[in-house]
Amino acid sequence: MDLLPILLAILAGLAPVAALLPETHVANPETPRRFGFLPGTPALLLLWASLAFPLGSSGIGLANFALLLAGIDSPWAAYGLVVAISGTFWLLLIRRKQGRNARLAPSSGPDAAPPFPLNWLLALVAALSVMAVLVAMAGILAKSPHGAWDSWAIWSLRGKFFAAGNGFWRNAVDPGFHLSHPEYPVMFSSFLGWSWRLVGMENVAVPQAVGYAFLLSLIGIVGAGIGLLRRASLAWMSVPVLLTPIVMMTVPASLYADLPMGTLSAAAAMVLLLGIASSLDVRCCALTGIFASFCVWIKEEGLLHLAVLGVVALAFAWLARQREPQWWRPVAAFAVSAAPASLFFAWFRFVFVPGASRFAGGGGSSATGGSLFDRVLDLSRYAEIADQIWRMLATIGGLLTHPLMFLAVVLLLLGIHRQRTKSPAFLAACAMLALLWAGYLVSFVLLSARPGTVLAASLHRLWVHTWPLLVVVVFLMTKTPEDLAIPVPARLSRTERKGAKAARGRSRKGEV
Amino acid sequence: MAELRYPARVYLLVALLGAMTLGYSLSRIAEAKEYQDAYPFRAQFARLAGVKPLIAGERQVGYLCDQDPRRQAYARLYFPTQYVIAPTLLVPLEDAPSAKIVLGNFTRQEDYAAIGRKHGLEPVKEFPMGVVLYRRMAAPAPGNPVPALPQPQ
Repeated sequence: MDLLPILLAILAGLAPVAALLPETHVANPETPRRFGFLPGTPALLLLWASLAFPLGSSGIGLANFALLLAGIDSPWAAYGLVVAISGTFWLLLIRRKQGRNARLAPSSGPDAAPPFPLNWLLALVAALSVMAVLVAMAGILAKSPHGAWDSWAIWSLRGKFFAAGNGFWRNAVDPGFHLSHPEYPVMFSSFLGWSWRLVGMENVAVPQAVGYAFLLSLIGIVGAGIGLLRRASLAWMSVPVLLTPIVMMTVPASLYADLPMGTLSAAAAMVLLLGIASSLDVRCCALTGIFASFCVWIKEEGLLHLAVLGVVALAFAWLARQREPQWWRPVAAFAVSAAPASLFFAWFRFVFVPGASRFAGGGGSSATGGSLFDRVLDLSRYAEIADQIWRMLATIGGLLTHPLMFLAVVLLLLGIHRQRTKSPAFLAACAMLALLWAGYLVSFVLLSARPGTVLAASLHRLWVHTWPLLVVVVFLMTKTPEDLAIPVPARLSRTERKGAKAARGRSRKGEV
Repeated sequence: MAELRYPARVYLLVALLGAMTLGYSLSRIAEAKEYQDAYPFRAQFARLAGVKPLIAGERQVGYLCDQDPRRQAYARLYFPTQYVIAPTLLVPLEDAPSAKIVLGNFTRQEDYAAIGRKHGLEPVKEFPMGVVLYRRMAAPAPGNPVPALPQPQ
């Protein structure tokens, strides 16, 4: 019963994902259609399933909040609304996709090179890492079933308000809740409240199940996405690398919103990369817009993620204008898809909770940190930020099992694929990562409080927002094991060896 | 199709990935075993079990505490209490001076009735471990009746 909300969320998200990401990868002739030793296209199915939960849960969280605002207090009504929107979306796109899919028809030939024969071993290593993190997460949750501070002071606490319905949900955004954060986006808490309402009781199993679901979705998005963009061997390798930082265990076990934030951002980025690899497929850009707009409803940092994804989609569409006369269509698809949730968020932030919003005020902040100009010129703030980044990097893994050590080993032993570093997908991933890091840096510099104090408590969990994209960047630029394979000449028969020897002798004498 | 041979560094990578993954997997499980919950909730649920049914129907109640709101200790006491009491919102008395029902949350054994009187409150019921439920005292104005004792739901 506790898993019912998860299953319903997956079902709600599956239809739009399948409609907007229909074998998109086959448009890219370099992407393999097979996923390791498994037949068919399980990578695509895995990606669908992994994207479905974040999409479905976000849609349900938002629909639940919208209906509560309208005075409709029923979890099934919220689910019905999401299913109706998803179904309509799917039906509309199914009608149009016939001609388009003909253009994207895959080649019938096999992959360029046979898969790495040790993929099964890499799959075992990936499974080991996933199991270890899940077991460790379960161990922490057994001792701390309500999660950590931000869970019971913000996210799950507001979920309890939403679960009570009947006007109690307004406590989540009430100015009297100012000791916490009434101005924070409500989507995640709304989904938790909806889930509790659905199962009929407030228990610790529901938020824990949601945490597991987001973690598994993130693993699936990164692994399956790399499998579609590159090779299965790299996909299997990416999973243990993704899970190396200790925060990939502690943040999910803390039941913080940073994991859903990282998952939604990775989902948006991966779908955009698949779209860019598929000549800026309009449907991929539309799905990216939906995911990006949901980012803003998870955490405040989502605004930065939405802006960066929009800028990258626009930039790469603009760069492709020579060969794509209708270059604006993917950008328009992104904008139209992102608009509803983004505009709803703008209303929430500037109209619904304006007093509680950090954007609304400013007097207090300048009093503590000086003017914006002073903060930018204050070099000690940069030193504090660098110090905190160094401390965070020093503590997210052991010396020999440090996340950066994993990335270095992969890059050193596989090498960099120079041709791949010029591919639009790789350049787009780099641009996203660079812009996101730059955006975070600017926001740290402009913080009203001393950045050292704030980052000491938050930098570890913020790492979850961009770490998946860093893993994707590295695995987009490495060579694959298959790239390094050397063909061995077939063993010759005795007669053929004699003939070859005679030929070599004639060659030495200069005979033609 | 020609037979393929892979360079030694590919096998080295597979071996290193396996060994390093095994290393951090074991350390994650060990770290989880050593994990200590800094805010055990079991005590809070037991402490507030009596008061919760009495205020279950109230959307908001006032909150009175003997800690300085500017100190971390205040938040450390407020949030676990708020989490257990939710969906009722605890609004600090400074923000809700006219709250009819107030939850007192104290860390020291004191004269809780005297503390309440300073804020125009009278105790409804005292619970163990510093939890007190107050209501606003009868006001002299006729239009401001004494709130009825909340009934368990």
